[in-house]
Amino acid sequence: MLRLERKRTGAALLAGLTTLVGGCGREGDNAARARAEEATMMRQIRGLQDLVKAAEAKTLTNGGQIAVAVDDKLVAELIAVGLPLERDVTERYRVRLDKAEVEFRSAHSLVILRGRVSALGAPQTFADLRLSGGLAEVAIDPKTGLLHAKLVLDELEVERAAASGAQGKALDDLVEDVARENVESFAELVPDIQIPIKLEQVITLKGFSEGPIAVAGGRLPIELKVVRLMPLSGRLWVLLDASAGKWVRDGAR
Amino acid sequence: MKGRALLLLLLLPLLGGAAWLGALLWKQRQQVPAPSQERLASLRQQRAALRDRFRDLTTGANDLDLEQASEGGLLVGVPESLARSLIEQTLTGLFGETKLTLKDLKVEKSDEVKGRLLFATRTFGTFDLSVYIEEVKGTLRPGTPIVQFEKNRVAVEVPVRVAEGAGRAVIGLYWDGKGVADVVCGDMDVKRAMTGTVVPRDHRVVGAFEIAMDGGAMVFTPRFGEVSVPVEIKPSEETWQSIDALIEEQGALCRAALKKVDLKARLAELLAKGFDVKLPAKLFKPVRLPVGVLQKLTLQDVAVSLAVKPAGLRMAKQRIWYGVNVDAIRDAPAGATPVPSPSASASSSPKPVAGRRD
Repeated sequence: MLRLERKRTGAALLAGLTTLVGGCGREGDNAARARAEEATMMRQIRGLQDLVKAAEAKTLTNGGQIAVAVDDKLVAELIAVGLPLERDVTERYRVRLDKAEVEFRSAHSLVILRGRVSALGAPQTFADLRLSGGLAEVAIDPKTGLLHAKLVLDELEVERAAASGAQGKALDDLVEDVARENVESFAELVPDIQIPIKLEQVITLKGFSEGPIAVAGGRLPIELKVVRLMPLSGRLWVLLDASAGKWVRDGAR
Repeated sequence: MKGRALLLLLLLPLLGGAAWLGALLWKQRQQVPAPSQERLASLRQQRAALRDRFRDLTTGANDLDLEQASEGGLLVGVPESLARSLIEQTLTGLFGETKLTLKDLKVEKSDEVKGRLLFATRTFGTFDLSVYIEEVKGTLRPGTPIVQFEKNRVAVEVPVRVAEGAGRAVIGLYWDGKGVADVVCGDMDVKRAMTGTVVPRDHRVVGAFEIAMDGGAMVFTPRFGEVSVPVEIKPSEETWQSIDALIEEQGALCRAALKKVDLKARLAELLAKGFDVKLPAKLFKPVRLPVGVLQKLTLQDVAVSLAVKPAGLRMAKQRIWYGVNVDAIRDAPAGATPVPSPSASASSSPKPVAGRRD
């Protein structure tokens, strides 16, 4: 399992919250956006520094690694196909996510989920919700061999809906309440991202008997491990170390 | 008691003030000032420089053939070294210690025996020599295959040794004497049990694997045609002795006639041709590479079908690439029509890797 470095800066979160709270915020939208941009760029820079370091050491990849690349549009489509997703959060809000955007560029993965949030018990009052984050880990499920990615949220933004069902104080209260929530409270909303790749960790061939020939079946174990992620040029590249073991004949210990 | 209460009363505003000041300071510490435009510009510059550096390091780099990938929304590059290892291991693994059992096989040879008798060449008789294999068991052992990657195929040459083995057979001799030989020897129809061993011999099995896409996976399909290996059997010393005894049992003139036949040489010649053992086609199994594109998924408890369309297959310097385009379609409940994903911004489409840079 590989974990992308993801240092969540309090600054970005605070900036987001401050911006979103509108009336409560002392700083304007520009300051919050600047902090968010700074946080994003710093993450991109860290990612690029890792890649440059690996490229300089010639360890970026080697010819023995399996490479899998998935287009950002396909990942967006795979998230979107599971939408709309409606769930209750922190026993206070009902969230409905209905749009997904994904971008893989400059060693940075960006996933944006959009939808609406309303207070439980007051569905007519809702606000626009934007959750953004990136892919934190890509791993092979040891049971199924499926390649899946975990999305970690960085930012939560909430603002008056373009066409809100209600106006006035109730909406202001909702926007303020949600904006004060910790982004991690919304983590349970985030879908697990499946990359539609199945990795076989064993090749099994059946034995048979035909005419004068009798052949024992067996299996060939294959060791696979995710070693690097590279969000580049619209694709998420996943590099895996792969090696075939020794043939194990059926019945052999 | 009264004095202590008074002191507390005096201290309370002070404590409250200190708490307020502490909260204010704590809040100030949390407030990270917004970055200046200069700071943002510097970060943008640093990011651009790193991108350029990365591009310089990877353009034309021998260890990175990602740019040679085929097209498609989803790409898989399998290292040639892994594919080679899988072919070698599955071939030698399955082929290794293949048991051969020959049963109910017969080879025969008929000929006429002539010789000079009283100033003329005369026919002594004709013979039918047969070997009937009751059962011979042997083993096939492969050596390390020679694997050569070519365009869309992999040429393979597998050294195969017909290794040790043994068995039993029946030698039959029918002698039809002619002229004088018929008078002195008559006709003869005899059978002798034979034991023997398999003669170790090396052979080469030559074929290829075609590389093709099958659904979402790359499959190496065997193309070996009809493959057979000859199995040669060497009679045991006891067998030769029993043939000698058969001749010695005859009268002198008959012995002379049978010596003309040279039974041992003809038997050796007959067995030297060996018995062709045809190897079944399924001994060469398709090798499915261990990375495949799924055609069904469950996402957030929603069953999804993936329409997978091959987009390209390419043999690059280090990897065999294949690309597919995938469209996700949410499975409809029974009886309803499946619908494409509701809010997908766009379906994945082929994009050439080469030339795409941030």
